[in-house]
Amino acid sequence: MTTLATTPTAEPTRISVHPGETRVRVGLVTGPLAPRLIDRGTSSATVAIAAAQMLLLDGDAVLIEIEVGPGCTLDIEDVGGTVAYPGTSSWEVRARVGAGGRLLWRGLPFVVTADGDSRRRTEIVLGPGAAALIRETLVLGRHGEIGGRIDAGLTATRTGPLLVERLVASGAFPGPGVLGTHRVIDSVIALGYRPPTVPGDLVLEQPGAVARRLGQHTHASDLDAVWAAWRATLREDDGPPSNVPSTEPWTGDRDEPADRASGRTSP
Amino acid sequence: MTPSAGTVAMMLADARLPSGGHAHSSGMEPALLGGMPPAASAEFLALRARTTALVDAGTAVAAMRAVLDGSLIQGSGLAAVETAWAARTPSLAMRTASRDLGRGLLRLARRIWPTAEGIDALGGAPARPLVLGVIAAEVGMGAEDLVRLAVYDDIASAVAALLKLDPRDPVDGVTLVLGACASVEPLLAPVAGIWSPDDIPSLAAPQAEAWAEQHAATHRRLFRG
Repeated sequence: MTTLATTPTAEPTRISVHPGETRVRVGLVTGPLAPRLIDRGTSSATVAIAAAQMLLLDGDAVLIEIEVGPGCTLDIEDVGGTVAYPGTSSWEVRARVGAGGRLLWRGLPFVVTADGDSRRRTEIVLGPGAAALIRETLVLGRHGEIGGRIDAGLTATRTGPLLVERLVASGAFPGPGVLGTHRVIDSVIALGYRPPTVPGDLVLEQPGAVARRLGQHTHASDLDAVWAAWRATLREDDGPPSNVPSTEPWTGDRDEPADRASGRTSP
Repeated sequence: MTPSAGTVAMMLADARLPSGGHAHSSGMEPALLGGMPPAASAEFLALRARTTALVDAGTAVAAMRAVLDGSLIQGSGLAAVETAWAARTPSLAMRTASRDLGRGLLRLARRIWPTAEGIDALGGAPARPLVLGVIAAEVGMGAEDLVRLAVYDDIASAVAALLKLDPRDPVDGVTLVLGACASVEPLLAPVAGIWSPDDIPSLAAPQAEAWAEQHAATHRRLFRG
């Protein structure tokens, strides 16, 4: 297995939410990604993240650290998708969610270009009663390209392991049983609670489930509706509906995500 | 008289073993019903060997070590191994198939090795690799042999099913088994060295998982998984 000799190109990007006196305290540290507070309430915060620099170029190693305090909810919205350009790059997320906390991250497509080789690691550690909902869309090759290699690992624990999986795939190699001839693997991943599943969803042994679509195009996936339903289940035990606007002003073209290297950053 | 570990390994890999293995296709029937062309079988098997089969092989090794490490024998060790396996096996259909196989193998093992350490901690329907690990600990099987046994058995079951579902020269089937097993040979030593359940491999086969879920819901099937 290839070991990437990359070192972080910048300080970690950090997002933290902790209980406060009237409203939650939010800590934001800009790294290669710039987090921006959209809204916060008595127990929840919504944060948008955008690229603060060209990403992901050869040798880039992005680290994102997330901390959700006990009883708090953090809603993360991607501003644009991510493109892993030719060369090797890595993207690592480490999230800790305190007791009863909630982490929701509606990720936009992560596209590995034809000559890109990208390593993703997502580590989610849930405290007692904590839960998370993650959207993860991995795309091998930009539109019309054949290629792109990814090594994407996810480890989620709550006391013991909930879900441990690692996808190693290449857009140039049709892998029957892995991705087949598909270039898009789109997933909604619920951890720490049981969302309303339908036949075909992966129902984990521990509380959690994965709705997953393999395809050729991200826009062909119907997972936006699954995200909405599973999100509603996660939030319905949090009291009255949140007054955070549910509009999604940052949603771009989901098939060809906004290119972070184009300099599209939050104002 | 105690049978040698080598004899036991051959017996466990023998399709004639009365443990219910003939009812399973190691994902081959789900793949074919899911639309995989039979011509892709060699690639499918090589990927099965390095994904699902290595998860199971690593689980068997971790289970064996949980039994051999006296501090873990009170059930908690094997329970942690099963939790680690389940976290790496997100498809309920695949977990059910493995536990179906595990139940059959455990029934046999309880007759032959009734006092084997750890056997009482397995419950009624453990995942198959846990039973393999307990047997391996009892008979003193080497870890690499255990890994090869787990991989070989999985692949051989898939090919036996392929010969029924897409009849062909049986010698071609033998070639497929040997090819898939050889393809993961360089990966086996690290798997054999596993002690902690955290180190069990976790390479995923998402398309096979989707096929397994579809297969579990169909009535047009010869095999259980």
